[in-house]
Amino acid sequence: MKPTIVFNPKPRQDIPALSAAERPAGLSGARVGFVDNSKQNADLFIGRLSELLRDEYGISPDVKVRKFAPKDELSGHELKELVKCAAVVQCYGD
Amino acid sequence: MADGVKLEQQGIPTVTICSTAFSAAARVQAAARGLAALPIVEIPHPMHTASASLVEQRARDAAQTIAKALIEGADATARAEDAQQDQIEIDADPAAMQEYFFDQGWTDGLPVTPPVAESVAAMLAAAGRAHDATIGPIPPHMRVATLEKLAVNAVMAGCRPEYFPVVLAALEAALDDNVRLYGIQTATNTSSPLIIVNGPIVKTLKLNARGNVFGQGNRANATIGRALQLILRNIGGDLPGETDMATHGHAGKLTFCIAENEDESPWDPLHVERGFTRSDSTVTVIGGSSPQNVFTYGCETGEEVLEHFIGALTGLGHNNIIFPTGPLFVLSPEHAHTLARDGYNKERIKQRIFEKARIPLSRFAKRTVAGLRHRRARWFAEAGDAKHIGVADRPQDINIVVAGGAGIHSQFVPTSFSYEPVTRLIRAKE
Repeated sequence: MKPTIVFNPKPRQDIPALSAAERPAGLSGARVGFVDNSKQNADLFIGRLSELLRDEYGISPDVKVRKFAPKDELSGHELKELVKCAAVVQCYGD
Repeated sequence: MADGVKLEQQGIPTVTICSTAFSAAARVQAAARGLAALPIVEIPHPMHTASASLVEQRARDAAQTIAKALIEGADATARAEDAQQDQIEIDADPAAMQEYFFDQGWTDGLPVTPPVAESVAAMLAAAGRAHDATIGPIPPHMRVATLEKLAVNAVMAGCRPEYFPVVLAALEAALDDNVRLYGIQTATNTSSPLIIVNGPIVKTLKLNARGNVFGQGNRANATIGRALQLILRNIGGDLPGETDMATHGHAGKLTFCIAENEDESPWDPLHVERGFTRSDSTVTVIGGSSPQNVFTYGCETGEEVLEHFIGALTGLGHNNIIFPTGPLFVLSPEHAHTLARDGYNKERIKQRIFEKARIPLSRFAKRTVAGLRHRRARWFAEAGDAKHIGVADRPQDINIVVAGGAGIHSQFVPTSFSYEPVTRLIRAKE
């Protein structure tokens, strides 16, 4: 049968590629922030993890943010606090 | 993922922890935001039901990998999509065309109307706005849509051109920050954006506001709802199992569009409550799960009907216990008139539901109560009831729409993610 032209419903992929932040040489003394997305047990996991990273890698646990709901994005104020840290661990998608 | 990308862009190294069931979705979402190299560390699934000792064990097991990822980052492993042409020549055989559409992943699992030039042009001509207009970004891939791409999806959904302004208004409403579309699309919850149409356009387009309003059989309802879903799939990149992690999903993820039965309502319709006039045509969008039928067998009075509504709301496990979004009730005209006859207007119904649809905290597990105290903090701060959890933080968070046909049934639509419903004017072509 004769060919026909159809329109593509998808846009072209035009997302600019971003680079990750420069990593620290080590964690000793680094202020590390934590984001708990409020999923069940995220607080427990982060609590234990921050102790382990402190005791075994010498981090200094810093600001802890707990979201009201997992899909909420960080507020401007929370971001402002977190960017004072040397690194951030966010927890988690389950 | 959005937060991790945002922090990395501000120069802060991050690690995002995901359980194994969701790490692939997390990587796709990070790549969609341009950062395929976002460091993600996997931990075993599930975490929600893990005991405290198991959670601690998993933290111990993962600590070294997390420390390493903070220092070393991650490689970009996400697969880039192939760029395709905007117009493609294919075999015109109807069956072959449909197979092509399925192969490309362009459909929701059902055949679509082929998006050919004449149909797309007719859709664009009915848009009521400039052809170079764009709408977006549309999550989860955060792509901006041209009017042409939106028209293509509306054609594929089976829309008549005159439906297109409703589709566009629904998309704009869905993208309002208060709807929280990203959460709706990517969560394990069953939520899907519900479209409620009000105003004169309901009759103009012959939308169904009466019997079987959530069901099959009306082209306008079915295709307007489907068009929004196809746009979210083809432009937003909302793909089951890849970015859409719904545990079950529901039929409203194919199409979820109703109209209010304003002629048979004893009260002001939804859009008038929300600040518009009766002569305005609007869409309202809110994240909704499958409607739950409330069958008021044997009830005669408004009081008895309302008691059934409260009963439906006070079972455990529905979304309006956990989410602060208030519930939506879609009342049948019979229920609305019974309630109105017995002295209830919308405000009184909302007030009664707010006061009575409360569940004793003693019915919940300790961990659930702890979670509720955080996620429903506004309830505990403002409602003045420390022993129960209500289904809405405030009476005004409860929404009521009259729709459907004859019968002693109404629908409780559990809502989720949305901070509140969002209403937009439909800009029909003049």
